[in-house]
Amino acid sequence: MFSIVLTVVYALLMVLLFTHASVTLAWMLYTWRSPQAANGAGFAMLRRKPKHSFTLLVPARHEEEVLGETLDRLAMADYPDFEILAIIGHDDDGTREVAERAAQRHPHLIRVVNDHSWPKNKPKALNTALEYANGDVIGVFDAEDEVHPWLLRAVDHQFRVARADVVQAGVQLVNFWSNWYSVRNVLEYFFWFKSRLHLHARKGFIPLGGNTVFVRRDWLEEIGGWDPESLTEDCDLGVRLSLAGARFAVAYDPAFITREETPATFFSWLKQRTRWNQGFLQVLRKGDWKRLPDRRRRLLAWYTLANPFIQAATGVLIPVAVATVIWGGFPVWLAILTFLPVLPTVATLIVEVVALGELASSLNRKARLRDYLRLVLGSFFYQLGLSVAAVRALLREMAGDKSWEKTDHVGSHREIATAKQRYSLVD
Amino acid sequence: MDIAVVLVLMTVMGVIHAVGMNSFPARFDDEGAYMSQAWAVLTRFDLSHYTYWYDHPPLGWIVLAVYTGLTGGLMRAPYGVAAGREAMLLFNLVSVALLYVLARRLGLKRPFAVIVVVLFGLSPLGIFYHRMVLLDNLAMPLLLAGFVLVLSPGRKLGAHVSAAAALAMAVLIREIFVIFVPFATWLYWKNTKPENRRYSVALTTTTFFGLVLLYPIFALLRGELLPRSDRVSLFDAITWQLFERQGSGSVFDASSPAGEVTASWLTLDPWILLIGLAAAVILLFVPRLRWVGLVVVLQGLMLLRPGYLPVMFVVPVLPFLALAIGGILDESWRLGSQRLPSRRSGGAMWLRRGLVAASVTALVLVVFPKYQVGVARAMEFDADQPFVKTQEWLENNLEPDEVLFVDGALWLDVVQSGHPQENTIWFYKLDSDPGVDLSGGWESVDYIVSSEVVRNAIYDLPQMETALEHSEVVEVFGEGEGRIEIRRVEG
Repeated sequence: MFSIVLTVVYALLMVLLFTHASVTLAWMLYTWRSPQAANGAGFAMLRRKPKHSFTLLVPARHEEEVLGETLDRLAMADYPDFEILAIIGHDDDGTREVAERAAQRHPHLIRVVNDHSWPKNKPKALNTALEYANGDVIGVFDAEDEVHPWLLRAVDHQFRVARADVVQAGVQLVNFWSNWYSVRNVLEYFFWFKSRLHLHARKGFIPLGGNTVFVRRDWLEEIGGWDPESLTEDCDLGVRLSLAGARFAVAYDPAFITREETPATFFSWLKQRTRWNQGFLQVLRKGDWKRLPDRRRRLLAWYTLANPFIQAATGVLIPVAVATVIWGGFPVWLAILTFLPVLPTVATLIVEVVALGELASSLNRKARLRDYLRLVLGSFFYQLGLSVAAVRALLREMAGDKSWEKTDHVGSHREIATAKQRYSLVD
Repeated sequence: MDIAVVLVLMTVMGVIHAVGMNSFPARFDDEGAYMSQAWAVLTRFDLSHYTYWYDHPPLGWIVLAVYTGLTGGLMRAPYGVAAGREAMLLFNLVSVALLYVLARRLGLKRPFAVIVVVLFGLSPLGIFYHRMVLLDNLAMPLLLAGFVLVLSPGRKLGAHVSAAAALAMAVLIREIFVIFVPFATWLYWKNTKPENRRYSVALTTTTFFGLVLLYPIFALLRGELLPRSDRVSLFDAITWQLFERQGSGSVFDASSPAGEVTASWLTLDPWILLIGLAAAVILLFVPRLRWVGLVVVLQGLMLLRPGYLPVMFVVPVLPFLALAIGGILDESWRLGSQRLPSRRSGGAMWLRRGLVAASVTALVLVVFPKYQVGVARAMEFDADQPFVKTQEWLENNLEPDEVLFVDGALWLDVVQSGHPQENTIWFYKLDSDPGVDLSGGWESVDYIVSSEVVRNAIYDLPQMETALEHSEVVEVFGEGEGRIEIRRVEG
């Protein structure tokens, strides 16, 4: 009797793992679901004259090394009507110096905004700057971003073509060669921004990225800006905008992606991931998503927000189950059932290998055997890292610790050459 | 519009299939084998009523078990195999629908697609074998689904993956269907586009091989993958199937088993076989449908090789024979319409279309009456009477302690009527399965139910042969080759 119950429970568990792994794989490949869809994932062809005015917010904290170059590049954007607000904490003299020197170089474009809030975090900085913004559209950038000069044109066009209220442009970590975990981190961004976000945009529930995201200023003011207590203010913003019924457009084009780098050390990666997980958990607990009008979207919202924790469990459970079956002498039918979730897991790995090739060539670099090996062999350890980050997040949230663990940037992504552009912008 | 056509076709074919399906053809040994194995899955959670020796991957009778379990078929049906025949009706209807869709996706115009399905469903050869509980019939819808999905107009990733899964399951039901996979792969490759091809290929190959590999993994987990002295093994089964099975001789030799098998097919329906073969050869020169021709011609060539020729060899080829005929008609019609408008070619076009119309009319006038005879026979003639009467006799006259050698077709019926399983022996198992243990050997056997299958198989079964020699006829049902003798063994 007991063994029958155990068998049924185990079988159910395997089916659940299989379902989660298959859904994840299917969503990962959303943008390639048909050749037509794959073609439509980038920016629309640019034909019209620019219409909107942009305010680009660049919050920076202890970013002396990279901020100057970032601001200079932003100022060089090929667009008629935009301004840049560099937001510096009142206690951060070093970064303010860099920002003010950049403002002197581009006096009509860059202004420095002082953020007096305490304790410091990104959403408070953004809210501070919102009051000084003049543009129709607010764009958010990170201090280490490498932005293409034609990005604003493309985004402006996307707003009009998609009749969108929010445009999320692609962010891509580029330094897949740096260390053992960077290749997996890079691919996560690739699948997220190129593929899965499109699904979220279409389904009406989207956890936005905190970077290269553009929102119409009136929408921001209507929903009250960013949540000052949130650890993932971007995800929270996405939820509240989804609730308010905003239209989203996602565009990923290798020519226009914002290039970022992976966290410099595994420990800083862990801190960043912990913050994201905790942020998702906060948004989940906050419960705004429960007010979504239909059940399907609520389910999608719950599944997406809880995903880091589901993934933490399944990612460890599947290898453990396989190992148990191989060395534990299970009855044959249970063993066959255990292979069920292995199928989509192996398929995911193969898809990742294929994607690394595509991504590398779009970045004009070659992925070497070493990178592929790190991808495959690092899989389990990366998964362990994700699980540790999830547990850490859970503990921090339960302890009520909401401090912001910041990630350091060293600019290792800047050594890459610009990717080829896909189309001309002759108006 | 297409949906309406499909529904009409399914109804017509359904009726023709269903009426008289339990009486014609007569029960066959293989059918009994599959149904008994399905019964074993249902009642004993075991893959076979004897030792499972990897003759076929077990998915086929697992599916049968699920079907009969869900519908209570074994309770309702007049005899064991009949429960399976009900499932065949269902699967065949799905095959009919999918074959139509496949014909349409290949570009055949509606009338020609209908001809394809009509040939498939009305051919007396088709009716004969589609009614039987065969793994080929279970796998056919999956095979056709695989081809249909591979030709997905939107070239969707989901369709490609589903195609891979369908083909994998078809192979896991009937392993010989693996020969269709290269054709499906070629069609698939032609139907992909660079935008998502690499992901599609990655997913489809993983899906297909991942699923198919479950079979050897299953054998491995049971410790039965490689040969061992005291156990069956997958390896042994494969080598036996490929190399050690006794050959059937040449199809051109009327007295050899192969010759007889081929003759039996030609007696049932020479038209679809010969016209289909001719059409297939012509199709080799038509790029659009060349692969259909290749499938048929390849199967035809395989007929010529020495080796064992099973009687249901013809079943998987039937849809492709029908497709070949429909295809050639469609191609001729189409050829007529692809010329630039001009007076001379206008005449040529109408000539070709006239030819096509004439061919179709000839087909209908000549073939249809013959088909009508075959279909009427299938719907009215009761070929199963000898088995019915034998089953009745056994139920009334057999004592529980009497040991019985029986044709596989009746095994399940005897056991379900209450006769102890250890005294019911599938006739060839005594000589071939060490797990079947009769103290006293053939002398402990009391009765032999000797059908055509039994009489043809005794050359290989020494104990059975001896028992048969020492037996006397007690009852005979039916006449000629298909008669069933109930024989009492002396001693």
